[in-house]
Amino acid sequence: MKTTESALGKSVLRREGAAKLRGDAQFIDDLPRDGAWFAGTVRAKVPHARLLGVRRDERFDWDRVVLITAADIPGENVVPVVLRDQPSLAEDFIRYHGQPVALVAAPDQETLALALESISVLTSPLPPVFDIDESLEAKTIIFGEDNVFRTVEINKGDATAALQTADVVIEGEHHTGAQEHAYLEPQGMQAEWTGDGITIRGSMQCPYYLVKAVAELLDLPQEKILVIPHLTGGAFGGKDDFPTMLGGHAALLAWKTRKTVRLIYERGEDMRFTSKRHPARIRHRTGFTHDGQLVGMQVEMVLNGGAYGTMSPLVISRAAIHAAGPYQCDNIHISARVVATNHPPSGAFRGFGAPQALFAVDAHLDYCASQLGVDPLELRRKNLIRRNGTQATGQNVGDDASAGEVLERALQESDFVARREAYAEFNREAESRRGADRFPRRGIGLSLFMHGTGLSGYEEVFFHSGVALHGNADGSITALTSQVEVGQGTRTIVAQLAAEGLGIPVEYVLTEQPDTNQHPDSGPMASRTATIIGGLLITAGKRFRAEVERRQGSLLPDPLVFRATVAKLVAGGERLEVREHYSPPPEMRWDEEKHQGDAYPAYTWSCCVAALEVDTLTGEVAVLDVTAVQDVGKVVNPMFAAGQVQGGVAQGLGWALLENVVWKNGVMQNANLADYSIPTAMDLPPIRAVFLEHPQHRAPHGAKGLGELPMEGPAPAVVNALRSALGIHFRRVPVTPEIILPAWEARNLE
Amino acid sequence: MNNDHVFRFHVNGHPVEAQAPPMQRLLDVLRDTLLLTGTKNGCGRGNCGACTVIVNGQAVSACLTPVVQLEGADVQTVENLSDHDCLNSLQQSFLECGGTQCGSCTPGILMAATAHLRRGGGTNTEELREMLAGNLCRCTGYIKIIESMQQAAAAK
Repeated sequence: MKTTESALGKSVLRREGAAKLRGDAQFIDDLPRDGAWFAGTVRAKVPHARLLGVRRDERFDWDRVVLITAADIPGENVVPVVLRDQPSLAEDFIRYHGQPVALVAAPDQETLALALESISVLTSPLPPVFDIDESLEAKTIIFGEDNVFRTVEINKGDATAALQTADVVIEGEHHTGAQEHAYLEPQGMQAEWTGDGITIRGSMQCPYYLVKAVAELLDLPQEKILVIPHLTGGAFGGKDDFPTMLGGHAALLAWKTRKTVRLIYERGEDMRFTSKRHPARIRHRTGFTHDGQLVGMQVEMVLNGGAYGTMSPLVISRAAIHAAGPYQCDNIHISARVVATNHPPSGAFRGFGAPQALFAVDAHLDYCASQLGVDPLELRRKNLIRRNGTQATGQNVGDDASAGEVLERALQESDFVARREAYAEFNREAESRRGADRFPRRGIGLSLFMHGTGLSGYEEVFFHSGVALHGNADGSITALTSQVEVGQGTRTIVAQLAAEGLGIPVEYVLTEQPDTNQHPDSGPMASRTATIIGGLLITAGKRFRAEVERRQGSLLPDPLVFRATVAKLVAGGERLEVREHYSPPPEMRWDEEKHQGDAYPAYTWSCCVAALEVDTLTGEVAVLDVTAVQDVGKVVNPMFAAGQVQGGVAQGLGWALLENVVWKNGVMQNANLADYSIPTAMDLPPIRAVFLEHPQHRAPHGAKGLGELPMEGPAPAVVNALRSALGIHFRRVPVTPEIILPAWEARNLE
Repeated sequence: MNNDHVFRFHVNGHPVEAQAPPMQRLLDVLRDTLLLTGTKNGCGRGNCGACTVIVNGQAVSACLTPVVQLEGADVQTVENLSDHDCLNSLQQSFLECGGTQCGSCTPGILMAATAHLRRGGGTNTEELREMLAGNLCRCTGYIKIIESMQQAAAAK
């Protein structure tokens, strides 16, 4: 008798891969255009103003198009994300350059272009606020009473007292820039009036956000809103909160025109007016004993949230929880604020606040080692969190404590110590060389970090995610979730995870494009699919199997017999469906107000090593290679997991070295893919992904989150490698040649 | 005033008569007129390579190619690579090596790689990195794309 080999840990091929490779996988802009109207957005051209109205040029025949302003919205004019501060269309105030004021739909693109040219936005300017300090001064108010979207404070022990008695206190201030998601498929939505409701198809991560948002906007019951997340061409968080606005706009136009309406951004519009990663300023005051024992940490962090709250209140929470890094310290004070400015709203981006926090703490710690005269490896070994260590929130990590192991493994895999010595020798020799050979210098650096799995306790309870398994007439089983395929391999791994629970071959499990009628709300992505949703699928699978065996009256270990039994039961008119919902492990405690307790069920621990060469004539950096080691609990699909790490490291290297959003009066000046450089194949080194698998005990299969983590390592590793190459500590990413070269020249003048 | 002309060329081996203004982009002819939506519109200004197609053996950006340049040309798009549902060896390698993730850059990269391999371009990692420099991918870090191309080249 055959039994089923586990599908976990196998590089099962991508389910929609062949369609993507043939070119017949349809993205939103590829849908047939039969009769669809084209839509565009009328935007404010000032960063901060009173909105007086719109003026229509009467030479244009406005009967040819449909125009919508805030006054036409039948329901509530809001983009409901967390704070409900953002209107779908501006009503009284303009808070950023590019803010949508009106929408136009037209039967063809020429008419649309003419209409958009024939309308202007009337405003009365107010003083704009662009930087963090100006926002905190609160002379000009953009949000609430003090421009602060949210403050999170975390206290452990007494950091003030610890720093007073510490042998050494070292301060550091670090800055990180905005980052553009640069998914290859721009944002787009198509909405259709169905007679008494709306169907929306689009490029998005979270279809259920849109159901709630559109129901409010149109004052329709939620069951009249059907959302179908289309195959999505990259997202990285950029299609988490933003589509809630864009989908609302498409829905408004479909409702008003009673037609199908396409609202597809072109690249420049997408880069200028959609969200970015939050820029950050992070200050550390860190106390040590003479021999490098951490005794106190004060972290003061401010994130630039842009004009509206979007995901900022949650981003600042994750940033704060990660602010002390993977280090054990008894006295920690973290103060984290996210403030309003007249930039386009910042939003979700891979890492969700953690990358900024982790860059600052790990770059600072490496700098502290140099100030203390201690090897940065020894400083980390001395202070990293061990078994039963406690984090800033007081969370006892228990056995989930691989920081030391990923560090040692990364040192070994990258031959770190020997290469560090060889590069030091290379640099000493460089000083004595002549000609071009004397200008390159080399360095190697690492970062140690962790990423909390799933949403923080409070949010995971709020979403109460669900999955379902449904038996079909042919004996196959459909796995239903609302996780969207954005490239990460969701359709494939959902099948692998369900098959694992069911104990059947992965080919017997079907996964479809989700929609909000059939597929339960399984919450956002946020590195949750393999771990949180995977856990639910495995539990559901076991219950499904038990139910089939109970009805059959016998165990069914042979997969063919199991399949035949499912087919027989369904053919006999029995409904085979199992639903499973998330509930937090009963021992987990979380106090949202104080940010104390078990923030996440588990942590993914990682160490990233970067080796690089700096051309000291030009300031250009060539990364030589990257080694990323991570304990992910359990690898579900090795090929996809390595793909996530390599792509995440690439995105992290871009953030560290290249990706510089140039702002002027609140508008991105380099809003194209030539002037805003994401890494090309020529910019990237070999990237090696090494996985450790220590199962976490709060998921049945042991998996932890992976998607966001890999982008968090490169920035601190690069800055630490630059210090090893040049002897200069850089406190800002992106660290571009324009920053490196003057710093190097200044150092040589000393 | 109608500025349209008729341009005759071949797309994937089929004769095409496009009635269009001379500066109409090949990208729009392919996607909007011929409904060949495998060729993606990533940026519209030749920066990303998502719309790469092969014209007379050369990889070009369809968004930068006006139809006036196409009289008599042979145009090949991603739809021409597989034999119905059966992937060719390059496509199969991308599937097996993880060379496609979100899939937006994939058609352009397949066409750039096809032009390169057909004219006997080098397949060591440095040569392939250089060849790929005009095609952006945000998902993979290019590692598995290069492995996919090397596997396909080795199988030849």
